Amino acid sequence: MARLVGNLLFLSALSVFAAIYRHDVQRLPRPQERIVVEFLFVIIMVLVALEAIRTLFQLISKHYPKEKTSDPPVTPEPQWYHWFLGKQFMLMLTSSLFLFLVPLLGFFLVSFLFLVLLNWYLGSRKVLEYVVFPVGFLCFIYGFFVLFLQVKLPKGILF
Amino acid sequence: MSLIDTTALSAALTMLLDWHVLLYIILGLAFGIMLGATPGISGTLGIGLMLPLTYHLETIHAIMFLSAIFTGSLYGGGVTAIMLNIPGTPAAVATTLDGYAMTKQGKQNEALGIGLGSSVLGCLMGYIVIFFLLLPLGQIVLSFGPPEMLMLTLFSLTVIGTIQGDLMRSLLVGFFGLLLGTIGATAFARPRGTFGLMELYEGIPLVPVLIGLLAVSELFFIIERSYIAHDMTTVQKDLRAILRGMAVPLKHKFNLLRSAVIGMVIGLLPAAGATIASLVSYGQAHAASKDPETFGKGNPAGIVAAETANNASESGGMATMMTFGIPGGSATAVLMAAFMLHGLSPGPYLVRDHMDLTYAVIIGNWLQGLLLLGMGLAFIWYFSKIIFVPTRLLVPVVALLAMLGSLAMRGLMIDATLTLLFGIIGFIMRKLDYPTIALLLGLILGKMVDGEFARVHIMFSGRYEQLVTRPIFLGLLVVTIAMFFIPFIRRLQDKKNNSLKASQ
Repeated sequence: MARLVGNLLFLSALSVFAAIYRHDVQRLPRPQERIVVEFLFVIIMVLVALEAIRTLFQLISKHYPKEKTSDPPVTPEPQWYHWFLGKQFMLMLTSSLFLFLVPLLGFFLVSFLFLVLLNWYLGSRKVLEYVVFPVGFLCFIYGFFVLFLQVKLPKGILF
Repeated sequence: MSLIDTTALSAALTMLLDWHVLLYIILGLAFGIMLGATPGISGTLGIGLMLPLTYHLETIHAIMFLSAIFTGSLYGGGVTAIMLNIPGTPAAVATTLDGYAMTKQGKQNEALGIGLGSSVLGCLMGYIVIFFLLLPLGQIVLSFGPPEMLMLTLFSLTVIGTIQGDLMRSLLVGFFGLLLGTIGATAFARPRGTFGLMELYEGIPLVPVLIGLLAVSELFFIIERSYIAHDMTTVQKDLRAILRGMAVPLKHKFNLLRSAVIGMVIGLLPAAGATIASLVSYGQAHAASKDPETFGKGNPAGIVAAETANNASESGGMATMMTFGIPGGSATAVLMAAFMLHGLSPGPYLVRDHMDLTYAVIIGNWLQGLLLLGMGLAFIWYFSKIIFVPTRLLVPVVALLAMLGSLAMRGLMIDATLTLLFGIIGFIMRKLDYPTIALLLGLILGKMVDGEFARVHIMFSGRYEQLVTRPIFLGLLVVTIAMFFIPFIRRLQDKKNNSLKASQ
């Protein structure tokens, strides 16, 4: 059920983006700048409609099954909010924090904190794993990317 | 008229009989493999970076060193695609489909062996054909205008139909990818769909999306496991599995030959390159296969098709660059600059006045293919050990490398943000059973479709009927339409067969 509702939300997000984009290109003066977007918009909306109808049918048939069958005992699904306590959410959160902090504190300091915290959260308890390894890895990145390839990485207030 | 100039050939061989050539090839290959295997860092960057250092080298040494970086990087991109679902370059996207599926089954050594064998054979076969047919093949380039390029791009889109899973969902996200691909400057240099973000003026950058959709979305699933492979007891640990894998392409003779030809011919065309070559080749291998349902689930034929074609495309790109002075892509453009730096101008005059050097470059690249066999083997033997690294160490490092790869490209924070954003989108799509690869293919090809369509529109506006008088355009149109319908027909047949079986 949650999957089908999720699918409907996903389809809504696709169609809203496509509609906003189509609306945005209307300000372009030449038709050849708009035609590809308009063409793709029509195809996407047709496919979204077909997929939405199919999903709705599945939703209805789940809600009102034709015949009552003696279903095997179902194990209760985990509550949706449990996901926010899991590893997937933690990865999403730490990665978002990483992006937020890099311009402020600089790439290397934030990377060090990111590696140490995530390693520790995922179960590393040896100093070699959650401190020495990140330091060594960041030294390699500095040598290879910054010194050798001369890639410019964001610098913050510290490093 | 003889196809081979024997005097120039013997002069070329004399040029190559110098141990320095071997040394520079080995150095270039090692550097190229490392760069190719690093997400976000391309062979082009490596060639550009090393270009000033080659100024004082002899011409043949410089060209061999730089082209070895190109060869190595094309191969290196496939290694991370197989091991971590991170295509080092967009050309390795098709390799992830079956390569990473094999890694998850614990067959990473065999998959890496197949990738190496196919890459080497693709490189060798491509350069053999170019050696004998350099000039006649070069003429193909002249018969490809914007209409043919548009049809070729649409043809490569048919690979979306070969992706495992629900066809309607594949098409939906594929077309949505095409729509995202149109974001950026129009053919008339006006921003479109950038919503005020000037960083998107050149379009949604490919590398962050590629890393996000494939690698970051995969991390959300790997993090729940202890190791990449589902069952560590069945993981291949010995070198023999790699060697066995290297022999696999020879068992797929027809697939190998077809992929090499596709790669080389598409490589000849400017702007088409290794990505289109590997996608078209993968699609053709799927269409010709007796068991297409196993594609995307770890079928070795998929890796053979993708890796052979993307490495064979290098020979085509080099041929176009040397005979016409047209660089097929960014890497050949920088290589062209290397020729010019040494006082040579690629084009008809290079072939007329320096045929010995042209032959030396072709034979030298053939030599690179042979050396790649040994160097690639050593590299993947160590790289394959990643499978034994627990995810508690691997996930943070790969997540950081993903962000770093995106940042390294342009140094803009928006690229790293896009990586995470597309990682989350990829995660949601996979949870809902939408193929992320279809979105990615749409995005890669969307940029090309848009550009070629605008050119065709400008050239043929009001007289589109002239398009059907172009034989290559017409041929490609017919094949593309046929390829679009093959998946529908196949799935209908499968349904019919299944219902027949069920009724019996």
